[in-house]
Amino acid sequence: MTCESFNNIIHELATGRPLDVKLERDARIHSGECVSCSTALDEQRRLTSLLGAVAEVDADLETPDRIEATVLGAFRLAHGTANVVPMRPVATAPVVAARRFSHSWMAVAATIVVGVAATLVSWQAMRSGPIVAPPSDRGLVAEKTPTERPPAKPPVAPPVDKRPDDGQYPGVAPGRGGGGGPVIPVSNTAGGRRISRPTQTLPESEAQELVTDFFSLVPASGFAPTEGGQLVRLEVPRSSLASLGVPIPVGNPDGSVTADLVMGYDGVAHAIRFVQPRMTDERRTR
Amino acid sequence: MSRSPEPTDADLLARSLAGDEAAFLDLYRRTQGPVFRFAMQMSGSRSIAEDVTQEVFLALARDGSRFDSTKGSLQSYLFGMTRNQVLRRFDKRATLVSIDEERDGGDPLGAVESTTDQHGELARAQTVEIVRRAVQSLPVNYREVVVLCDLQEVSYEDAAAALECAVGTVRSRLHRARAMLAERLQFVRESSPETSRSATTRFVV
Repeated sequence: MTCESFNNIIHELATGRPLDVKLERDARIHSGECVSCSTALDEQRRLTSLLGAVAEVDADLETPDRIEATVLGAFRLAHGTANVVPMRPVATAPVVAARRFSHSWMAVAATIVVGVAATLVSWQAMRSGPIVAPPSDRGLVAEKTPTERPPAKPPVAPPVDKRPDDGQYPGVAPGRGGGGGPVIPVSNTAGGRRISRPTQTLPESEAQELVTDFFSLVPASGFAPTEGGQLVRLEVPRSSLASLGVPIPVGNPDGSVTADLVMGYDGVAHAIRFVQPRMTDERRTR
Repeated sequence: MSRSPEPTDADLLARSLAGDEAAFLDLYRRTQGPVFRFAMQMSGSRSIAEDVTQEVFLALARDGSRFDSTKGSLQSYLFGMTRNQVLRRFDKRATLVSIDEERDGGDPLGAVESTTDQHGELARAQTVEIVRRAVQSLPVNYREVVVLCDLQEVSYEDAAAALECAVGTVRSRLHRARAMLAERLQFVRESSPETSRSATTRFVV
């Protein structure tokens, strides 16, 4: 055997791979006669030992379980058996719980939003005007939506000047809120049903109402009646006015005050005014 | 009472293709280790190896019928898919180093060598890490034959089938690769107590 032939099979000799019996015997003889080839074979055996150490350390390496689950899922999909594999119940329980949590969270969030909005309306009314009419459940009696711009009407004088002795609005300044500005007509209906008729025509009962000017609830921008919005009529308990520092008319401590709240399209209460029905209206002395 | 012979990989694949989930699971558990180790020893990255292994078996679950037993064993077929997946990621990461670049770029183990010179003796774990890095530093066409034939102990024929080349090519690449490794790991052998003085002799390349 030559050194070149020996070198061609040195890898098999170093790693113990099977060789032809005659070839292996010739290589052993050549290694005993040639120092260079013998040394090379020793070096290859040491290299094999080093590589074997790496292979031994890596022998325990395996893929994580999640890959097996993924692959198995793909197999089931490929063979249409995914629907017959029983699912673990724990996989659905957290989803249901999350949905319940979501619903309860939404309810709490809605309550908080409504509460904050009501508080903001009250706070703005306190800052901009002397009288604040917090809404109450039983006080909401009528609502109408003037979607068109109010018709040009001559200014109506504040009622407090016309009826100074009726004891209804002793604390209202006549000229407040841009005194003499246009007045949005409101309904006198107290039955709690919605009113959607246009605002241009005034029924006889509404024409006979006495109203104050609008008091702006938005100090920064003020309120322009031409902006439009929703007019919400409220019956505000006098006790609520008292708690806000508004003087209560003598003789009617348990009654209520009618007010109109202008809600803008942005959902913000822009202005409020107070309504005084004629003395013929029985609700006035309620 | 004799037990029935253990099914071959090809048998398990045939049953898997018929929808036998147990056979597929058995096949996976039997072959995932070598596939994962081959991917990891080629890439040096556990995350890449996991990704590659998953892709290989997803492809097997999807297109297992492409396997042709006349071209080689199922193991070589899986190694071939693994190799392609690894090389695809090498292309994306542009981490392939050509032979010329490597020669021009100096010895990547230089830092390790100086460290080992300082300590004089290497612990077994350090030796393993150095050898692993030496294998990683080989050009990819040499690295893959070392990983397959020396670390995975695959036959030349299966390696040739996986690498889609002739057996003679595998042998010549392996010869060259081992010579390169011997050069790079020479300092390890010199520091080993059982190494004789003649170990510094250069190999025929």
